[in-house]
Amino acid sequence: MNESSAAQFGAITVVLLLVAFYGGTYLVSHRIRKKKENADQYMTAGNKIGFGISAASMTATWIWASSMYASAEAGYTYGISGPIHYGLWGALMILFIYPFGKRIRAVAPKAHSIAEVMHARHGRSSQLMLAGSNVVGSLISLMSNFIAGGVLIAMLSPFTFIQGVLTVAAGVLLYTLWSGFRASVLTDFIQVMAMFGAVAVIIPFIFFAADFPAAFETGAQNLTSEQQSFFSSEAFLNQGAPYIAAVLAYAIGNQTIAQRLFAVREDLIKPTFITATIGYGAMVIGVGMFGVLALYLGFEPTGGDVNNIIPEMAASYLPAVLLAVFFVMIIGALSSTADSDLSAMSSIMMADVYGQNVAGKAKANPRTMLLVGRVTMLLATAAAVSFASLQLSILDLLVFVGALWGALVFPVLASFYWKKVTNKAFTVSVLAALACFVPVRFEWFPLTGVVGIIVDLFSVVGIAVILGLMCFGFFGLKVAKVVAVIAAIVSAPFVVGFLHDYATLSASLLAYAVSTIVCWAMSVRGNAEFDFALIEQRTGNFDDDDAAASPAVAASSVAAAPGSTSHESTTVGDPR
Amino acid sequence: MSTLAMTLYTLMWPLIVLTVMVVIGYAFFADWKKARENGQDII
Repeated sequence: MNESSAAQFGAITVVLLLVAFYGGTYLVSHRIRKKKENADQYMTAGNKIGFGISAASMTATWIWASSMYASAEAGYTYGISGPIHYGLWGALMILFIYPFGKRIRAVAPKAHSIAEVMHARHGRSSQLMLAGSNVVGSLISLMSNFIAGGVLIAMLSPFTFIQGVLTVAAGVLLYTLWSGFRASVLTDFIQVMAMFGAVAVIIPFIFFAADFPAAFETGAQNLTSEQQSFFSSEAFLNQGAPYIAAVLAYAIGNQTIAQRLFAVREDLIKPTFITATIGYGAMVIGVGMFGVLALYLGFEPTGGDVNNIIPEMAASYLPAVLLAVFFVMIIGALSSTADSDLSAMSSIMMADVYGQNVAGKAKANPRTMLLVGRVTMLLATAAAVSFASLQLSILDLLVFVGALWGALVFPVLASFYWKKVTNKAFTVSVLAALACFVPVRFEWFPLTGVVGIIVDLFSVVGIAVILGLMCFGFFGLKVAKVVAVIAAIVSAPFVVGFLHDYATLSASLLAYAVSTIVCWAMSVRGNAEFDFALIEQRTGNFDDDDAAASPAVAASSVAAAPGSTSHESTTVGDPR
Repeated sequence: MSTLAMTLYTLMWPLIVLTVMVVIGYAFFADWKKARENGQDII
């Protein structure tokens, strides 16, 4: 705990700020509350939300407290290019998924999660692998946001960490529980406006209050030559490169993005994702500049803990009113992501666990689904609060899960484009990738000699796969293949004999490479010819209200539901 | 980087944030107005 900045606010002030924030948010969500909520709208708001809300929600969800703290840490550690190597790649996670998102919506316009689509495309094992990783990721994210809230409240008020965690958890649950995703996206708009407004004021204020731009000259000696370089190789290798590897993995593995992908009106996917990319990038890089400014000032965070940079810079240079604005900004950032995590987990339990696997799509009861969703939110909150009290290393957990998601990227994306990918190829490739990933990630054996070289060779393939997939989304298969080959040739001399020293990055690239090679090898000679039109029939609304509005779709959906007798017979050559 | 370049590099981000804020805010209220005219909820 940072003693120097403790108790910046009195108890009454903090209580008033929290009551104003969560009370206001609750009142907004109460306005859209329905006595009898619709199960599909609880998960995806009817698949037709407009540009303003969807862009705000995508931005707010992707910005969380940790991204601001980590960006500032990158600026403080790597200098002027640090925030770019954090924020830019995080922003590109949103951008690079949108062409795939358009394809996913085209084949499954009324789905609720990518895992649900995997059930329609392949079957249960693929779906549950993806759904399981989504739940784990969201639970870690939820826990992280509660921890950030607890730390902030403990730092800026007389309240304890646990009291802070409980307050944030109760506040988020209060406005999300009844209306689910609908409440989440609507309140995201208010939260993102608050965050944007705060950043637009606070950054220039601290900049001038800390005697910049003059401090750029007086404090230049505090930076090393690497920290002064906009093209720092150290910043790229330690910060940027692992994020590039995670760009697609996070976008595929994170249900909060998928949920918004299925919620936004289909023709608004592109502007929504592009706006969110710019909004997220500018916000996170901008806040990351606090770390750069701190570096120029020779600012030393209390206890050497870089997580203290932002709150201590704020406490040092902001007057009480703006410090309150800063407080609301961080609470808004963590709450908007936390409510999205709750909505993501509830929709997975509703659609993927109860809807598809327990009751079956044809027999799923919308009222029971809503109950499942709400109980999920309560249990997830209780679990996240319990884990938060353990104060685990969140970034380590996230890096681990992010790398795990790398094993899913190629099999998931290929399943939307390539008719030959089967459930067996999907499942085996992901398991094989995980089997290779874990021992390398945790260095169960020394990555030296021949083993190191083999890992490096797979890393080269992993780099080719990542860059190839990124290009494939925008430019198609031919360009993707050319880029992949060039990437492999160019990267090989720098990677082989070198990269295995970076176990986290190597393991992540290995996961991409192994899953791609195995999935491709098991599919390319097969005779499966999946009919993508079946996905639309097998996914869709669960609630009678929507089904009544579209009886033909509902009837075909039920007739072709996975597990029904017509399911296998409509899949040409798929050996499920 | 020169002092001027560093100043621009630091202060361009809040400016971009402000621009995105205006774009999203305008779109939200346009959606809201349209929904009210049609007698529907915005979400």
